[in-house]
Amino acid sequence: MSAPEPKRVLDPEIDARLVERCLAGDARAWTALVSRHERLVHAIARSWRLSDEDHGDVFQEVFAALVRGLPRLRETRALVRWLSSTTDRIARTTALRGRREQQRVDAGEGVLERQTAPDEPLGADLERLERQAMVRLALAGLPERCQRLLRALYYEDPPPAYADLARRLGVPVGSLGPTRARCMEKLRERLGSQDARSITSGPGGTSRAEPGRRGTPPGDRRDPPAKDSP
Amino acid sequence: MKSQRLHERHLDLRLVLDYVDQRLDAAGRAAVEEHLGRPCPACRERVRVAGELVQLMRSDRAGEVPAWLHERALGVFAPVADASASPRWTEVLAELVFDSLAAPLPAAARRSVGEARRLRYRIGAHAVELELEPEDRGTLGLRGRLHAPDSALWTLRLACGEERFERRPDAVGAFAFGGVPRGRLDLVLEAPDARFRLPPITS
Repeated sequence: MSAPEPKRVLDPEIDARLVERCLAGDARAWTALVSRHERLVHAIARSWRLSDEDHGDVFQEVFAALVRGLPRLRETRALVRWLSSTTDRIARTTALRGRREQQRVDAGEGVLERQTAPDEPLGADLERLERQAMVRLALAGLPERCQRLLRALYYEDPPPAYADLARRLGVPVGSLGPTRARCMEKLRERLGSQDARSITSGPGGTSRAEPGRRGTPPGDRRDPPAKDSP
Repeated sequence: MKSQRLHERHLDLRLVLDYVDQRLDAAGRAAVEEHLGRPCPACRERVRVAGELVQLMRSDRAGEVPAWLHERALGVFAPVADASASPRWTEVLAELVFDSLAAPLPAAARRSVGEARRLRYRIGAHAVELELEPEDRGTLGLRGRLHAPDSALWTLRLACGEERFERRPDAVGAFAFGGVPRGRLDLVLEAPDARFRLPPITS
């Protein structure tokens, strides 16, 4: 009989413990905290299509701000939301600054118009990225066989055929369906029934720091900043 | 018959996922949709939640964070020397449960793993598998897989004589050390809240 597994990985204690140890100066806890949350920061910063140099600066600035804000951020959901808002704010500011500098250079060189990128909106759907981050954190706490199965089925593009996946995992094809159901049930349990509902559906009208910037459909996202900025 | 049974009971999660994943044949799909058309809010909610969860995962393309970015995030933290050097948790000795030197593999397995020596340890509620293989230059390659939740948060520290190596497993727990000198190997696995020491391995 294996040891009982923790009830939820969105175990509020995980980030609280890591934050506690970071505050005590433990570099390994900081590494663990960064590893848990860096994908969210990366995804939001990347959505602003910054240069590598600016992207690196944003990344560093966000985590430097996190070091300063640690005493207030011990709960996973609060941490995820804070990281998402902070990254978006810093990345947007950086993108605006970069665009203004480019405009000055263009004006100096007599360039009338520069088409830098297709007319895709800049910035991320923060709410979706936050929810995806929460699911990733929950998934990372599942037994390894569940992680491998769900990552293959739902994160690989295209998802593998059952026969190929069964070969890769070394299990009978017939066991994949039932195992997938059990793993998804565990994932849902770890997210918590209330959490799962809000994670899949969004906050449902609850107030957020910047309501206009969350939950908007991708096609409705913000325009490139330079076009409307002074 | 199956369709008839679906009228009478709620959809189980396996069927819901088959439906959401579009792995049902036309008859199965029709049966599920027929059930969903009945006044069964519980099953409709189940399909909606499962569908949105699957969609969240499918649309997640955050991607790996490049190492140079990771390093920049690590660089902003000023550690306190004592905190890392003197962890508050106790060290647990891992238990060897398999060594191919002591229990030779069947011929077919030997053909597939070649000269590699395979070891498996129990580390608390988790496990780690190691594979040691001679390299061309007289050194060893050590690779393995850590079977533990949050395996990417673990740190593996390998000491061999004067040499020190450090690795972090990837998201599925895989790790590899190359150019390891022969001799006594001491491997320590550090979880976020525990530390496990393997008995010395003589190579």
